[in-house]
Amino acid sequence: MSELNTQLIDFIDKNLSAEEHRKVEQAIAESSALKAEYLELKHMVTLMENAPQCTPSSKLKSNFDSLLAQEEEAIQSAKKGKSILFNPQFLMKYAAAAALLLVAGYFVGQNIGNKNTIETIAEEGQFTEAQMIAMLDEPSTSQRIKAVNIGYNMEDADDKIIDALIETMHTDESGNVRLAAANALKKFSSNDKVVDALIYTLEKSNDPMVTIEVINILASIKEKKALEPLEKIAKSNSHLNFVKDEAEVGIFKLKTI
Amino acid sequence: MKLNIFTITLLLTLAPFLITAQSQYEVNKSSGTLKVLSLSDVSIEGYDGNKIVFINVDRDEEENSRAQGLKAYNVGGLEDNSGIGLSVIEDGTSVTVREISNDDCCGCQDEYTIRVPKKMNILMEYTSNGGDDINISNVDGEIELNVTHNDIMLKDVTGPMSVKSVHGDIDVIFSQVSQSNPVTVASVYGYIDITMPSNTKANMNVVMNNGSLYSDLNINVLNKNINRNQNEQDTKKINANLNGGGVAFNLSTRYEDIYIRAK
Repeated sequence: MSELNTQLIDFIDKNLSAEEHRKVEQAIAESSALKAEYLELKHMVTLMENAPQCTPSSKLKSNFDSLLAQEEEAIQSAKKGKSILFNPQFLMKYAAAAALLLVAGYFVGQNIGNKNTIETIAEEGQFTEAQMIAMLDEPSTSQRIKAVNIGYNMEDADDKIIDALIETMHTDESGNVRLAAANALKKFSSNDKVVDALIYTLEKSNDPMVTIEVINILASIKEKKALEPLEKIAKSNSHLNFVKDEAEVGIFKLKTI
Repeated sequence: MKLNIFTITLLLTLAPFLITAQSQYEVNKSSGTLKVLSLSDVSIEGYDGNKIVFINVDRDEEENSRAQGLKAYNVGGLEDNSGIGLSVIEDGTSVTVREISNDDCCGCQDEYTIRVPKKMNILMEYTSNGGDDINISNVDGEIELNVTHNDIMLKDVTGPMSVKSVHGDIDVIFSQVSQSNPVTVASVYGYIDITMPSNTKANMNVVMNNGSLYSDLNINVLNKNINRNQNEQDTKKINANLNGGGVAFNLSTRYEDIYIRAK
């Protein structure tokens, strides 16, 4: 394992110095193998961060307490001279148990993101917010679109989901996913943040299909803030003619209907 | 006379092999992603094998005898490392292919066929003006297409897929439909025509702003609203399921119709 691989976790946790952070960032951009590893690791970290906390039942707790008391009694009655903590055999048992838990946790974590597991979950509604956000980092385009659909269909989508969809619309490497994210955000267009993000996309996107979709969303929600950027597009030399035509249609809809 | 016919037949049989021997290039790869960037005229065919085979269909060696034995470079600085007018770069699990041609506007680029192991994922982008039809057949891997003008014909595919063309018509004929991840097909000015087995389980999200949906499948529309005002500015969207529901189908066009047919 190279130095870079070991730095990935610190990179994800943002524990590196600015210089090291940049170095790792660049290495990820340059190597698809490292990028894949980074995405997988990030996925796992997200899952771990968002894993539900298990609270033991009161029955389990009292059982444990009584077991502990019994054990203490047993130890005292045996009158062992040395402290239990320094008994290497005893420690080994705990180390083995801890290692086993770690390994099991790793596989559970892996399987949550595993395609086969997802295949068995037919209903999109069964995904949690954290799973949806983690899925937006999957290498498969159609899986990221699935994540966008899940976000769209969530009954109680909060700021986290909306932020994730906005980031996807701005930065996803696939035009297909950016388009799907823009479409999904239409549902949340009563939120000012979403309107600002759509206008930003209108100004910055160089994917004609995404631009056309955003023009139509902004026109259908009658967002007057879109007029100025639309007029810029209609007059610009850098946009394709059919995009400029769509901008004209958008301006017409905003001004007259 | 008999001998002549035999000779001619033999030559005719061998001719394609003699020609392709000079105009094809192979990469050993049975899985991963093939990224096809900036090829304007290409057909991709899946087959049961372990190599990606790039074939220049109309390579004319006579065309530029002065360049013979020399390597071509394009304005991007890429070199023809395949000998058939393509830059082919392997990087981990992916293979990226670009055309080495500076003749973007004359429509005189070479035509290519790429044979890929069936399970490979295909990513193709072509955002320049023009470009011919894109044909992809017999591929079970994930397909992603992002093009501006090309018409798209996908045949004997399974999904998952994400396909968009601004101006192109999009035809997709499924052999069967993978239930793993969504099928997303979008065009602005072109039609969408989907053919699939009638027992396909799917959830359909169909958006047709100015067009209609036509189908001979048993589409169970979930968002029925017969009192809907046709002049509403809202997007015209149908949510429906097929055979009780299954994998998501996201289909949308802005100005044309959508057809969904039983195979």
